[in-house]
Amino acid sequence: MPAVLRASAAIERAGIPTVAVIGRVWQRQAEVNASYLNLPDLPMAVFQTDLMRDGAAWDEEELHGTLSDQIVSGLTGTVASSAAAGTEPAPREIVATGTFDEINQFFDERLWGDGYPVVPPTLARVDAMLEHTDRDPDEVLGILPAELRQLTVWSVAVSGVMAGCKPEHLPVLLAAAECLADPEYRIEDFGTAPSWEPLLIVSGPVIDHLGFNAGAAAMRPGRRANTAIGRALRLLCTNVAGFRTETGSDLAGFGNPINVALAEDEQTVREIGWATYGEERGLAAGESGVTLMGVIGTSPPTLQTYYGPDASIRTDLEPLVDVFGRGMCGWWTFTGAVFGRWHPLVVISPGFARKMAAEGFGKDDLRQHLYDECRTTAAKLERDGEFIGIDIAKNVKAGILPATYLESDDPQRSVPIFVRPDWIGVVVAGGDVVSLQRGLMNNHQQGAPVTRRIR
Amino acid sequence: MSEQHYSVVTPVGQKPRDDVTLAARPETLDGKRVAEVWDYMFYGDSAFPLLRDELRQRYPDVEIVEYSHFGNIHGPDENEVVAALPDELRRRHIDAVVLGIGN
Repeated sequence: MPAVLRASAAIERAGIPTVAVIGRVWQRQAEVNASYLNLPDLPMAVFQTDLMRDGAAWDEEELHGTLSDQIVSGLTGTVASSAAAGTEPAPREIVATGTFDEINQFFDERLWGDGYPVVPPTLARVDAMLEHTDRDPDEVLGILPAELRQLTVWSVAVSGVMAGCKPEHLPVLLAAAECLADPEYRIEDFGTAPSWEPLLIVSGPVIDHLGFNAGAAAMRPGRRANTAIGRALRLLCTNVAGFRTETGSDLAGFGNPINVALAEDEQTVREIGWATYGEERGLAAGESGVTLMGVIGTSPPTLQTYYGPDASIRTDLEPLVDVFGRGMCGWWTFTGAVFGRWHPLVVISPGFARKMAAEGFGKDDLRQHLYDECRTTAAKLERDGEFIGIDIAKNVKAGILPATYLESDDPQRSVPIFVRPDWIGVVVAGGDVVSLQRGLMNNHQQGAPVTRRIR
Repeated sequence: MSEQHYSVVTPVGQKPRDDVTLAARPETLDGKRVAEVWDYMFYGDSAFPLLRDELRQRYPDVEIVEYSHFGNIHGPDENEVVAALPDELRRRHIDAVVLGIGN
């Protein structure tokens, strides 16, 4: 949801009139979000200047003319007041009866699906799923922006049914939904142009208990627990949070495929004596939980390419450092520098984890290696982040960025690509044929990892 | 054999009742205090001074309180800044607010 609209609504609620200055490319999204905020007539002043194309070159004639006209009009006189929306069906109310195809057509027409056929959410199926929790179906886990609808135990169960979850998947899905509602995750920013998708990382005994795939093709649809739970989570973003490209609430430029839930190969992790990803996220040993993060991009798999006499883990990692670290993240790092938050994730295959462990190279060594080896210049950060107001010196002085970003005022000084080494997550998963790594990244503070224990 | 029929529920979450309305507007900005609130993006530092000048041209008695007093509504501490805004605006006796820029 646009930040300007959020602030505007908060101020209007306090009884102070506002007008939001919005670019025409965001106008439709802003109007939809104003409606979600129950303020469909929220005044806006819409400018035509293309800031992404023209930089700071505002059209002064427009600014002094039509834009100022709209600002004045929005702040003075009488404003329109549209009628409130009509009543909506109650949770247990039957909204349609029909064949499998008819139900899917009904859901498609209302933008309630994801393009795949859904399992019809009948009362019997939803109730069967609810038997796997002792929580009240009406328990509200959160109010999800952009549409500000209630995320309840009931709505999670409905989503689970639609996605093809087994009833016993519900506790995992409830923990995931709690993550979705955590303000740290920032679901309100889900509809941004770079577009990010939820990625659920599963930890603990539940991996074996529910049959998650942590091995070959761990990140591909296939195993029901991984696939259906990942899909159900995505459906909640549509049907409870209300993000839909068709309505304009989701401005996703390209989007990404739905992520299946990623389970860690904890057996390998234990064998080599490392802490599991879940334990690093605060779960106790032997405790099951989930971590939710947003992903805007995924690197290709990288692998060892040098076998010479000086080969080591560090030379093995050079493709990951180069492609994911310096390439992919080297471009996106300005967003982390603007917001002072960024949480990339590295997935390594069990064979590579064992190789690392044999050389005494642990997860923290991997994080530190990426941090040390992936550098850019302050000048590049400032140039790439100009349009979103980057100011490295100001952020360092405010404690948003570490002091290392401002060791001198030389524009060509070297600065880290990753904001902090301990913000790089490491998960062991995948096939064991070759030693592979892969990097994934979130969008600065959006989709920051959030962990919940499975109850 | 006839195909099975299913009776289904909505997957859409419930929307809590919310009777919010827009704030009342003054008839004119003359004699009013207008605040600028910025998300520190999309070159607002270029736009706000021009808008400020234009409002002063149109309303000689308008008083503008510049964005630097209100923090960044889309920065690392966005939630805290936005939550504090209503009280801060009241404390400064603000009558109307121009927010920008962009999204």
